[in-house]
Amino acid sequence: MILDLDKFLRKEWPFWDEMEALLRLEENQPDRRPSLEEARRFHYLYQRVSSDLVKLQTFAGETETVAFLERIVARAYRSLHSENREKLPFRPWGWLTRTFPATFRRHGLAFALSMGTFWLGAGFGAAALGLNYELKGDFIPPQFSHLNEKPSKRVAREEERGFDAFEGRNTFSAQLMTHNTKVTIMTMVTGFLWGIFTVILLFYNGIIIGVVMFDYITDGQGVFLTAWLLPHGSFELPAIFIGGQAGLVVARTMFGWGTNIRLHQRFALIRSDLLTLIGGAALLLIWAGVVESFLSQYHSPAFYPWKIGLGAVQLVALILYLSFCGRRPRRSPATLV
Amino acid sequence: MLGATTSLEVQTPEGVSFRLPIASPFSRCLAMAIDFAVILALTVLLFQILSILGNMLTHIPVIGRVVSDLSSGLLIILQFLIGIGYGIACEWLLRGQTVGKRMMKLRVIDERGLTLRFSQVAIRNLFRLLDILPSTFYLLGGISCFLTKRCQRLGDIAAGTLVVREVPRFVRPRSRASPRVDPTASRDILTWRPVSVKTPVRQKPGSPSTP
Repeated sequence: MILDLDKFLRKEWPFWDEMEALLRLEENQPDRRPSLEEARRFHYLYQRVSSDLVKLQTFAGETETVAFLERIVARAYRSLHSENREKLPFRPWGWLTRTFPATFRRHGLAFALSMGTFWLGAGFGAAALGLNYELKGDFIPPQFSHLNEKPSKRVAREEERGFDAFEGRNTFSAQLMTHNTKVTIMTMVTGFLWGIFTVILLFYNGIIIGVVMFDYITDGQGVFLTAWLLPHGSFELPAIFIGGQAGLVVARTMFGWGTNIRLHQRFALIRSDLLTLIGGAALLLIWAGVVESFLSQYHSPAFYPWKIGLGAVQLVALILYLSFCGRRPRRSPATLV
Repeated sequence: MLGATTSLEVQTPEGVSFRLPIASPFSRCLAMAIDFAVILALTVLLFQILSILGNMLTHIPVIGRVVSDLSSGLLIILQFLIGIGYGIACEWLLRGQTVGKRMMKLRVIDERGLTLRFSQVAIRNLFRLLDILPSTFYLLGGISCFLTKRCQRLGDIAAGTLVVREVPRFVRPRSRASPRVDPTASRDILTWRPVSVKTPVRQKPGSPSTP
């Protein structure tokens, strides 16, 4: 193409400046709705600048100008072709009552697998302890060393001890919330390694619970155990299962079974679901942290029925919420057009 | 492998293609170091504020204990939120940049050249927990950066993003600025006056010349 470069640049530069000014305006005020005339002008300028870029790309010496134009075209392209669905305001109530439970149900099989892996680990832990009690110390991690002592001894000590509401309860609660949320996120992201570590994490956590449950029940401390674990466990364990569910969804995406689309497209399909699941799990863990710190550690036998009752109510409410909340009523065939 | 692709080429539906230069792992490391320093500074600042607040109220019998406990609990939560939320908040509010990326002139973009969505920003930052493994050495993320064509860490692959270098704003060479162009006309975007470029009037051969 024969082009008088100086003349071309002199003629086109005002359009490039105008396009840049428009882009700056749009980027600084993303919520602004342009008028029809403005949108038309934007589109015209985009086409014009794109056409200029194509013309200049043939000139080897104009690298700086080409880079400058590419930058403008890239910004304009982003502005014109991006979906703006997420510009809609986030509605917490709608998310809580529809999005989260519906997303949970959509990946119900992954949840069942996650829960199954955990309880399989629990069964394994209980069976191992039943066969050889000496293994208890090997299964309990160092941070839970207080669980190594004989349950009846601990129960007697805990039931005698008073409850000090100001004794580091907030700190303990915060530690629980952040640690459990981190573990849940970890369970999700390790799904990227084809789910191997998600399964291992779930199984290992299951072993610890299985060992503790077997230990306390065989020592005749079943009521203490239920009153201790159920109030917060009714939210904490489902949250960990949901983390595992998200991890298994990631793992399935990595394998790509039953689809012929590419990895990045598969991830694009599940991204918002992953966020919803992890957000829901985090909410459950916040409540579980508060309950574990302020209620679960209060070991007065007089309160056991209340604690067990609360835990049971929470568990039933959570099951009902996740199973039925946000279900759309099925239309009868007569109403279908 | 690294170096196989140094730029992202996007082909628009209009048939135009443009390139965006992909950031090198080294500049990304520097940006990350700056971000780490910012996070550390924020945490220390919060710790100081909460300590001062706690010390002011410790002499009051019951409130002192509650405030001391509450402030240490709050610090743990804020530390966690800053660690997880810093990248998410910055990249969402600054359109793909954190303080470190801004200083190193880097930007996170969608791998198709489109606008970043919140889910992408959040996922890429949550997956950082995987990228930093083992411990906090960033080994998995680093290996992934070196092995992938577009220098993507695992979080980038999951989020469908990549980090590009910002092209510096090109200053128009003075010699090419035409005095005949009215610079205000093209910028008047609010009134939508058409761009006026005063082109010289072509004279027919033989016609009298104008002064």
